[in-house]
Amino acid sequence: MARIRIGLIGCGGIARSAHLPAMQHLREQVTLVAAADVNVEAARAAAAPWGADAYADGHQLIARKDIDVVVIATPEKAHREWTEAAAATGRHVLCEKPMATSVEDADAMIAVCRRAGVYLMIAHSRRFTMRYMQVRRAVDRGDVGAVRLVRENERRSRARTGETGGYYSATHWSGDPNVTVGAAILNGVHETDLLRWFVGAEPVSVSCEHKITMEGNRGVPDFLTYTVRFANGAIGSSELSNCLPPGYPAFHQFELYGDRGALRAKDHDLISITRFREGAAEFPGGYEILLHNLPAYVREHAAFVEAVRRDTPVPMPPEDARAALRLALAGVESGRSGRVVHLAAGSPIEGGRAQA
Amino acid sequence: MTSPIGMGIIGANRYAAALADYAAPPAGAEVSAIAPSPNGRDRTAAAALARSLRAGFERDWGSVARHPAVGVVLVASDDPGRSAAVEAALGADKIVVCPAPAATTTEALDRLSAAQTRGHGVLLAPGEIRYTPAGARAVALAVAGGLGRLHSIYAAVRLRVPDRGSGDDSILDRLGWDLFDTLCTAVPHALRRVHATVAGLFGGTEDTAAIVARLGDDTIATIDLSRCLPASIPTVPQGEVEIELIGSRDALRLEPYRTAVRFHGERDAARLPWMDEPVVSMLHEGVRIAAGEAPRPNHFEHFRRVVGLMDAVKASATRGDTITV
Repeated sequence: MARIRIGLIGCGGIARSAHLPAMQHLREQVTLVAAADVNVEAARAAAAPWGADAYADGHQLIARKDIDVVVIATPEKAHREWTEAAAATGRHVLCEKPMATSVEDADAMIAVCRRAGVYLMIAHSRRFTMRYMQVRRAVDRGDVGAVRLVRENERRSRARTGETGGYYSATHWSGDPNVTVGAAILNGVHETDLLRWFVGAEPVSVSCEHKITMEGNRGVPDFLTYTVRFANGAIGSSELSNCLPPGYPAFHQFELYGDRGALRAKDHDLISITRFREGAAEFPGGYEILLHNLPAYVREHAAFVEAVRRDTPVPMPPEDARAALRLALAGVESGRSGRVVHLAAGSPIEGGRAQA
Repeated sequence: MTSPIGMGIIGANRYAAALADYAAPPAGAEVSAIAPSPNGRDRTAAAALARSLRAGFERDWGSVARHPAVGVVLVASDDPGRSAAVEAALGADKIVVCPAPAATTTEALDRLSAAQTRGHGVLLAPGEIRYTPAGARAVALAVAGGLGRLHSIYAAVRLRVPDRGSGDDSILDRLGWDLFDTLCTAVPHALRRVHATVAGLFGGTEDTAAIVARLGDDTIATIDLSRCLPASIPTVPQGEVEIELIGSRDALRLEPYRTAVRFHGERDAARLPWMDEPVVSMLHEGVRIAAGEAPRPNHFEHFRRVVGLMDAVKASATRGDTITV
């Protein structure tokens, strides 16, 4: 069976930590034929293990005839542009989350892929983590009855973010307010997707507070907390903080309560090993539970490749990613205005696939 | 030799029961009189408690509130009528410990304040959480700036789903006070705005509340209250309490009722023999004040902030919109 030929646009952090390792695990099924990044050295580093070509301009990659799938791992502001370019030449698209920076862009991405008859999947990797797959299965089986209350909190050490030139720092694209609206869609779109996925209903209102906590941040909110009310009466909520001191033990805290039971997963309760270094503690076991969860990335890529190969629906419909983005952006609007934002009826929870 | 300070108890809830079970009255004090709650529903338990503690049993709470041998009154009642008992005890110049909120409205608070002002009675600040060792340390650290500039507070209390037909009081009245008290103590700034969602999700009328508030110094507070725990999750009567305070320099995570040892009885939720330590601490403080120590200042100013926050939360929940102060 011929391997699926992949072109990678964007060779930064998420490509290095997620997409490229996942492809390596699937090298019997996929091959990287080209990589592109405005930083051509990053593209060369990504391409080298595969003997692939490297470009500073993604359009050169798109112009090649030997690519089946384009993986887009750029900042979200460029997702629409590259999706449109890839779809226009008949390539399937696996695009990093968040889907886009606006609902209009998300709609355009779905429309262009539908017209072109290609698959579009947004890489909401948490849907492919064993933790959340098991939660969804338990909910589907009715183990906890009707889902009433869901919370996921996320804590990240500032050692991994602003203080070391990482996320939200002055030198990183995520710290540029012209590029991103911040934590609401960078981290938070995971939560808006999961809340909706587990509750199984559409959101009707969201109230949010957000702020800047990182030193040197140029104006991108890096903290937020919000409450979502769903059409079936359920409440979903999340608080995301990115400025914890090194060694803070809580990364993710997930709780779901139904009318007949509960499901909970708290990283700080699951940490099985702690490594103490000078000035910090690390939780290598807990860290692997969710963040940079390679098995999840492998499952995500494998599922997309399988859909393309068998011409079956992708497991994460782009309409769901659009809905997660829409809810996250409503949170941003609430945070900016200081008011509750009421949402009109949105797309159904089980949206169709973006295929003609 | 100094005479012991007399303690009176109104009600027979777990705080009173703890005194009989394992938490002896503070040194220098003795339980003189016990009466049932204003609604009288715990009359049998109160009588049994009086026998157990070898204290006099009074049929009505007013007798305890005005009892000449009583210097400190513990109002150990969840009955909403407890506010009247507190007011009467203050009017009789007693030192009053009421772990449940003595007033949940501004009007009730004004009555208590007036009663205290008229005489020499003192109502101790409530707030079990900040009377726990962990809560007290956390609040002290935050107030002293030990965390740097405070960015956010997350606080959650999860209680068991009650048995059918019980526990249908508002989750805000049942649990909100204690967390708002902690919040108002840790952050000495006024509320700017609050969004609150209150709903009945687990069989109660208002058994769940999700609250997001922004305070004057830009600290953002997220507060979750819910009676959502299935019976298979063991918890103490205070529920699962977890609090995080995240500052610009340091962060704290505390679970004030989490301990290494728990008792699991046949009839009851798990119990910690020392879980009532906060109330014992309050009683110690009450006895010290009765013995001449000066009370902490501005209790009622603090009360007003807490009640004001509670009022704003309720207004937000009722209107389904943000309340900006």
